[in-house]
Amino acid sequence: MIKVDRVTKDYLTEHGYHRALQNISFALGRGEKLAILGLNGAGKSTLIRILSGIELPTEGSVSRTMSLSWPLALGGGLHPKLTGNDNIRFIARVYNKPYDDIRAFVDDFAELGKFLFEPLRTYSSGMRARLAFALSLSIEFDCYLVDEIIAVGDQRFHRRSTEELFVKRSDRALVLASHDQHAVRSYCSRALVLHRGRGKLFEDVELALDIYKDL
Amino acid sequence: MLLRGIRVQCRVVGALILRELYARYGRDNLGFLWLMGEPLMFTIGVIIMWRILAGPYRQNLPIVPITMLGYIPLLLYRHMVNGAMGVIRTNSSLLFHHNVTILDLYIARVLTETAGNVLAFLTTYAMLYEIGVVHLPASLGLVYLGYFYNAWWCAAVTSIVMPLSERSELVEKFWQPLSYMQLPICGAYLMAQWVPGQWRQLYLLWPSVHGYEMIRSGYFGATVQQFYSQFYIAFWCAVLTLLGLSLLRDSKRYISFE
Repeated sequence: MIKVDRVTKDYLTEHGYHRALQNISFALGRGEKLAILGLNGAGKSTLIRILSGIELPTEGSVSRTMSLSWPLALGGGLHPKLTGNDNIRFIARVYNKPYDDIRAFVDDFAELGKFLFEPLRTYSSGMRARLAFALSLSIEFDCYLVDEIIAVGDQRFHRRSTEELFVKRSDRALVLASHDQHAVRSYCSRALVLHRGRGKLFEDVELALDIYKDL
Repeated sequence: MLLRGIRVQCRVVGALILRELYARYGRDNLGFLWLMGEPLMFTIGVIIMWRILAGPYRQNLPIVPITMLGYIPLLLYRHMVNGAMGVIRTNSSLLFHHNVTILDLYIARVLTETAGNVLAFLTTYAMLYEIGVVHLPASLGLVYLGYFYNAWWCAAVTSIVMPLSERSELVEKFWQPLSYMQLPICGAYLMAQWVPGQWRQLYLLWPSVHGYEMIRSGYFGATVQQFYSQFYIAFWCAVLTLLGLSLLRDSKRYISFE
């Protein structure tokens, strides 16, 4: 269970405080799948970082009784100067998992080939997405926080991530921030629409998508 | 519970240190040797320069041990403190993993720099001893103790500068000149016994002087006057460390993520 209680987030900018999120509340149980919809800059990534605990809310609180993945986004979590393989080693150490198991899973899923031994900064965004996704799947979290990363991959990546995340791990919870209507429609049972920092929760994903289209 | 926390922290700090070494020195077999190679080269360069420049003045001054005993501990200060600025920002992507905390980044940094510096010190010492320009220390224990206090001083200052540099760019801009201005009084080159009586008490107010004095007293033994106070430097290190730890804990609010 994740319980988000009246979360507000302010950032100090050049022009004074900017309210990125205002009074957001919702709860997410085991196995539930929530979409976060919103225009660029609506606060989706901020909310996901606050959910994961990387950033602290200015007001309000987040309580977690299940394990959450780190936010799977294009930046963050991995080190661009290190090779893919050294990133695997780092993650294995930090989460106390056997390197061999993680390496085997990542080899199979991310299909990086010889790029595994190249620094991450030489990767395409699709390759980074595959590596980050494979790593988080191999750690086994109760809830996955996915920030746009699925949209980056190709058809094959889509098919395989669907298989791993929604078939083999259908009991896990998911928070998916995405502009990809197809993904939202097929995976999520609820949606939170963010607009200028305010949020509204919809049990009807179609309705939420309609509203999002009109923003 | 506490024990588990400590185990996790040790594991994470270990992972961060290895990651830092890979990122800095690559994965080539002996890349990590640069950790001590850098200070080593610097020290030998300074000693050569000083031997040439000091010329006629050097007869009655043991310039080689004084340089070695002052310069290498000072390098630790420069590397640890100056390198700590912006470390949280540039490593913010690692904080995505909830096991990795800002405190872990700090501890990893202190340990990596200290280990490299101690290795450099021992290697330089061994090499200079081989060619006969330095002797064995009169009291090895006192040299170690002085080195320990110097490392603690560096770590204490780092614990303050590292989080403060995230709050304002001004910290970075002001730190460099301040850092240079404290060079003459930090204790690295100026022995307290050279300072005239009435100024000496003032000189000894700067805490880091006591660490260097301990190292030198340990090396030279009874041939030099001893002015250090272990209690004094320990007191200031403890105060700064406590302040720094609370700043580090607080600094999460000041980082912006990409």
